[in-house]
Amino acid sequence: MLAALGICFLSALGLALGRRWCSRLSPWWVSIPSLLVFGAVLGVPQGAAFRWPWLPELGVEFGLRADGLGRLFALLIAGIGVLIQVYAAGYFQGKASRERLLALLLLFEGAMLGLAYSEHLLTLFAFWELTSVASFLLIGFDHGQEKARKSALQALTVTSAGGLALFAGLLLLGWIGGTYELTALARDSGEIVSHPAIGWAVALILLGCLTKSAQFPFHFWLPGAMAAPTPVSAYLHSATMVKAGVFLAARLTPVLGEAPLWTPALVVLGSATVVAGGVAALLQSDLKLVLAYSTVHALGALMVLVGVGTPNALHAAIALMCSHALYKGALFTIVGCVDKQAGTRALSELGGLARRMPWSAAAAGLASLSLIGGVAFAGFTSKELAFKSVLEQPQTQGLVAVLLVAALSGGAVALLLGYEVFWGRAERLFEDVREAPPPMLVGPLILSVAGVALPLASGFWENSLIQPALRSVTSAPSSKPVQLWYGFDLVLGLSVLSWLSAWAVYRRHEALVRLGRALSFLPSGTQVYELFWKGTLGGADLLTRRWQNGRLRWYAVVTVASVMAAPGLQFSWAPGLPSAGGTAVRAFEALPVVSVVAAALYAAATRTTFAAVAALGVVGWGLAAIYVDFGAPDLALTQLVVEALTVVLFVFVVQRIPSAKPHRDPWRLAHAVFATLVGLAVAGLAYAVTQTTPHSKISDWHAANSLAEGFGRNVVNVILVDFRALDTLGEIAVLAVAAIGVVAMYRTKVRKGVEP
Amino acid sequence: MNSLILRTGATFVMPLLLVFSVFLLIRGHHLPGGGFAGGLVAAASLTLYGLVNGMGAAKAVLRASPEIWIAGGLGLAVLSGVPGLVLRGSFLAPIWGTLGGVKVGTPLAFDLGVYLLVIGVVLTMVFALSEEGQA
Repeated sequence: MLAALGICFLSALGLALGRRWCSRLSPWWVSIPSLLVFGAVLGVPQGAAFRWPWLPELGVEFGLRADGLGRLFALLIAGIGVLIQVYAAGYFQGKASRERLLALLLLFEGAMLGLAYSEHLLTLFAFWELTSVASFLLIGFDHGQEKARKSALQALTVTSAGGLALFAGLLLLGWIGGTYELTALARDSGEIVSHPAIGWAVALILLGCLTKSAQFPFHFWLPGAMAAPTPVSAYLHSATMVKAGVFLAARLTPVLGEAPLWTPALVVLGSATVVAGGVAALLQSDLKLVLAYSTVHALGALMVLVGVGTPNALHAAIALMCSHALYKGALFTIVGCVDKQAGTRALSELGGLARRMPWSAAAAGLASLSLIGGVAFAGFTSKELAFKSVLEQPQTQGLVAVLLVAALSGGAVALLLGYEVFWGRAERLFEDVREAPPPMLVGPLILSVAGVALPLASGFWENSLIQPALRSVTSAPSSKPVQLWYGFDLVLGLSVLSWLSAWAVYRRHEALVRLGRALSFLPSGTQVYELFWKGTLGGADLLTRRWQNGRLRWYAVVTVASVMAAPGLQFSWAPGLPSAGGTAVRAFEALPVVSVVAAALYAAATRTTFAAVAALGVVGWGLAAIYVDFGAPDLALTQLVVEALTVVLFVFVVQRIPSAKPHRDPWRLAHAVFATLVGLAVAGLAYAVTQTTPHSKISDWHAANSLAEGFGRNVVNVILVDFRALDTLGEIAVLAVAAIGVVAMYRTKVRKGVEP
Repeated sequence: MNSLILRTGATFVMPLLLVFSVFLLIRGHHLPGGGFAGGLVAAASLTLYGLVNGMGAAKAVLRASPEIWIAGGLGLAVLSGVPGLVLRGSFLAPIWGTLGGVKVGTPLAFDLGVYLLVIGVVLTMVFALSEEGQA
């Protein structure tokens, strides 16, 4: 496991650093890392585990474990990863950005593999977020285009908002269950699901799953993500990343399968996704968007099956996950070939390409047959299983309608891609179009052939891939294995019904596209998202203008008032202070006190800034005198020098203020009252603090140990440079940053020629 | 700032203040003083000098720009923590020894770092603000 992850991340780094050297290599050579990863994934034995204490203080662990589901998912990721990377290397052959793309793909692959193998919930979350980041970089790969940047940001916003919810949900789950280990959580599932707070955990976790897997109403980001280069769309947005949500839902089924909200939420939202995606897929004319929406409805169907959660439904979900990854990956890559060779993705223009691109046509045909659910294809098997699993329980039989919509839409999409593009009629003849180069054909061909080969080797498929995965999500066995043929029954009738209706829909496709254009005035998810986005920015703008209005006095008032709010409230609740036990005030002590008060009053009353500054200096020096009196010479010394310097700095500033001449300020009295109140509050606070007697005073310890351990008689200094040296280091670092800030502020102002 | 008394006085006072600031720095271990106070006094003396003779002269006394002093002070403070990390396994743990009959230790180096940094920070602000004043 570690080998697979290590190869991914290291070779991603290597490709990124050595991209100039690597750019001379042929597509085959640069795909070697992915092949190594695939080998490493194949070599991961069932039950392999790895633990490393990451943040042991917080109980966070880097925990991996390869169970059946993880191994199957990893196999899909790594296997398709090889084919996609060969394909991508061919797709980007001769372009400077090829190595960057491959490096990002490897980074993404590593994150997905980590997700598949995660045993510890927080490890899982870390990889989950990494996939979001990698996806952001990949969608925005063509960063010269505004659309790509926008779509990337949109995908990142939606998925990472979901990620935040997921994080909160996982923390809650860990808190409820007392552990973050998936196996331990599954063991205590009975207690966990009866906890009163479980509803929140479920809702938050589902939010994460639903956004990641582009479920209704968050499905809009996936079609937007089609701005990514086609290899990326094929890998992330059909085969792997969008399945992460389904994967996580399946992963948590042993823990949360019985929890309230789990089944209804997954089934209802999944069904809505099927309908929304299925209908939208038929209204598009761009091949990539057709595929994107058809992916949305397939993901919805997967969520429904996971939500139903019976052994047979989970069995069907796993089978569908495999077959969908195969045919959708193949179809996406073929669309990429067509786009690259013919120069267009518009259905209305394409047709009759089979003669020009025979290999692509063959791959597309096979993949489409699997998608439409042709007998003996992987898609057929998984569809049969899905229908059977919802039919076996009376309360889920209504879901047959949902699955029928999925089958119908899938079938129509298959006809469009497998038939229309390659065999249909088109006005253009495409005489100059050539077949795609070999690296771009290997992937689609292998994927589409695998769609036939898997059911043929149904024993291997069932026993080596599906059953181990199923055992890690449910303890009960499923009653229906995958087979080539299930005989003439109701389900076959449903399949035939879906084929016929798919054909009917396909015949009317042009009308549907026109309908889609006519309906484009309807508000879409993207528009809602943009409204939300603009609202957020506008709100932030308003708030900033209100609170950061550029008036220093306003800042001072807000800052001081908020600092004083907490202790002030405390006083208002407990006004009775403990009685004073101090000594009487001596006569000479009155002098600094009186001068401080007088100077402060003068500063508040005077109309010249200069005099106010000087008066503040007097306040500071008076305070220094009080410090001396109370035995704090260190403080007094520092205070004296600071006051002197502050006055000098103020003078520099005051020189520059244009309105330094006497003026009236209507707010002055209010400010003076406010300042007095704050002063009283601080005095009260200080008084209250000195009146309480804590159990043990740290100052006593410092005083006792200063000479013995710090070898110094000045306790203050020993604390600063020895006992609390790290704090001091932090403080002086802050000082340095403040100085840099002052310089930066002044230099920018001077350069712009703006008066401060 | 054309007072003759101030100009003459400042020229005499500055070296005294600088010596006093070093005195404060070293004495801080046992008696009131220390890096913060010492640094402030040194910075104040240089500010006074700059007020009288122009900030350019103060900069010349400083030799390096105050930003360099900040970096040096911060760097020295961080470095003074390394011996403790190596020898006692705890960053900034004090290490003491004698050098020529005088007890010295990493806290002194740390304090010196504070001293340098405070000079740098104060003078950075003073120079920035006074530049603005002349602009």
